[in-house]
Amino acid sequence: MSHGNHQQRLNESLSALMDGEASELEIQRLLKESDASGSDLQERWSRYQLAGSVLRGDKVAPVDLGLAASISAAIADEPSLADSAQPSAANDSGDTGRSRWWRPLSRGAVAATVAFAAVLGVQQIQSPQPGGNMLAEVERPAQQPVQSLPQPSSFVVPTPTLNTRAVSTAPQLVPEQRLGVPSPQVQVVPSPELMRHLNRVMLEHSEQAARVGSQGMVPFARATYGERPSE
Amino acid sequence: MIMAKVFCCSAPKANSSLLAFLLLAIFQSPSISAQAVAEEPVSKEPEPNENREAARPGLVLPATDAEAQALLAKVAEAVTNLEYRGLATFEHVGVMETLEVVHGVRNGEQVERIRYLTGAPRELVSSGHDAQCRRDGSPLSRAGLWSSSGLENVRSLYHFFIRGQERIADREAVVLEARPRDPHRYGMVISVDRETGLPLKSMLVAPAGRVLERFQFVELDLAPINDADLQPLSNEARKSDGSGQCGAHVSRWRLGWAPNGFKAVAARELADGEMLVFSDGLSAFTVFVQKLGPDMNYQGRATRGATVAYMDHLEVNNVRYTITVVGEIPDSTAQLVAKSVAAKN
Repeated sequence: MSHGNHQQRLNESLSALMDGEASELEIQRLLKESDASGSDLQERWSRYQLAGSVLRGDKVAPVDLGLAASISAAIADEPSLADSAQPSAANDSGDTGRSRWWRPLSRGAVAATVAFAAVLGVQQIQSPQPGGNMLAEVERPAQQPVQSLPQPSSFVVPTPTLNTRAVSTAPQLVPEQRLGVPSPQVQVVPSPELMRHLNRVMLEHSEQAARVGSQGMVPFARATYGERPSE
Repeated sequence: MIMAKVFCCSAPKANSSLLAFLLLAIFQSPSISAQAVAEEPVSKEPEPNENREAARPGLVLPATDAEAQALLAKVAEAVTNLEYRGLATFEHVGVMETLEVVHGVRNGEQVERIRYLTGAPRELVSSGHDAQCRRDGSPLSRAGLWSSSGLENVRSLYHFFIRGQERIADREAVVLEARPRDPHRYGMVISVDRETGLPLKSMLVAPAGRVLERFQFVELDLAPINDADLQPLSNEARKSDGSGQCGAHVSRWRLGWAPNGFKAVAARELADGEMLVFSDGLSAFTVFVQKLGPDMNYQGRATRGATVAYMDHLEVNNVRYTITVVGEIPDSTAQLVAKSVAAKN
């Protein structure tokens, strides 16, 4: 029983972490767990990733065998192709409308079905939480899929800050939430010292990353970006 | 239960495609794709022995080892040794800027000049790196990264997919996607020039498919670079000399936890502390531990485009240190890393 509780709490923490809203306590818990039995935690992460991946419409996604097996089981439960040639009539008269809705989706429906299952699985292992957490989970896959074509709409346009002097090269700040106080995330107007520090570390990091990495010009573009010559 | 119900409701036509999807999915599983074999090896070079296995006819594998390996090796070679100049766009923080980039090789060292053509005038001339790092023999330096062991590391952290082809800057490119196997790094979609291997476009992609930044050439010139092209154009240009920065500085800090595959690749002393650079071969983050005084007590994250800086602090022997983890990594990962910084012993 206590094991179940522990697991449940871990799942909640994991979900919070995925949303970038994990508290300090939760992070410590996950850290400890990933040391103890990293594989289990990672597997769950994979499922989260998979759900998003499939919903994005990727035709081929790396699916772990556990999920594949459960889908196989689901198929085994189904009536054979010959039987289901007249699908809704025999099954459930209430389903007629739905099957008509499903059919035209054909191939696209498959990916959606699998993804749906995966998302349901994810949500079942979470206990319902007050607040918008579940909603966020459902909304996530609705975001734009990755395309290699230009897709400016997927860029998040920064909301203007209160500081009218802030320029676009300034980092946006989100302070750590106080434990247990779900305050809305607010933009802070940073002190000049803090801004200088952030600019400096971002620049140093980018230059160093350019030297160790293999990304060509990108880190240099980042390193040059935030510079503001003499103010 | 619910899952079975969902499947029951799907139309019979969907059934067969579902099976097809499953087949693909099963062969896509990491354990198998790790040993997958090229149906049509792209490289003429002999493949590593462990890749010998019967080909699976009729299956389209997204990126076989041989393909991915050949492409990645080509990229590494091009970004290091190719001389080029070009105009590029950089989308970042919700805006697009244009910039001029020049890459030259002088005495075996790389020299880069980057100048923004929009917004505030910004220019950087970077030189003198690589030679030191190479001597250092770090497995993740530019030179060592795509050695067999470096490549092995990268492949255990990312899935690679060939996403097709596209034309960038009037050149044919192969689109390669690196999708992370865990949540501690971002994915990348890189369009690699078919002829030279230079990344003509690269995007950093967050888990939900959100593009965090995109760098893309508009025009590329592969003619040899003159010395004059490497001289700064503006007086305010910043010069960055990387010589000696890959030295053997021994850090007094350690990470209690780091995401799988990230290794320390550089450590450097700063006037007020030190910085440690970690890389998994594609992504990188830097840990700064500095004595910045009690005023710098901000705790939280700051983001600029794909780069996050997570700030925290640590007290050792009554001395307060400011910790900043900076990198193109997810916020939560930066937070985890920051929390795990500790003094050695």
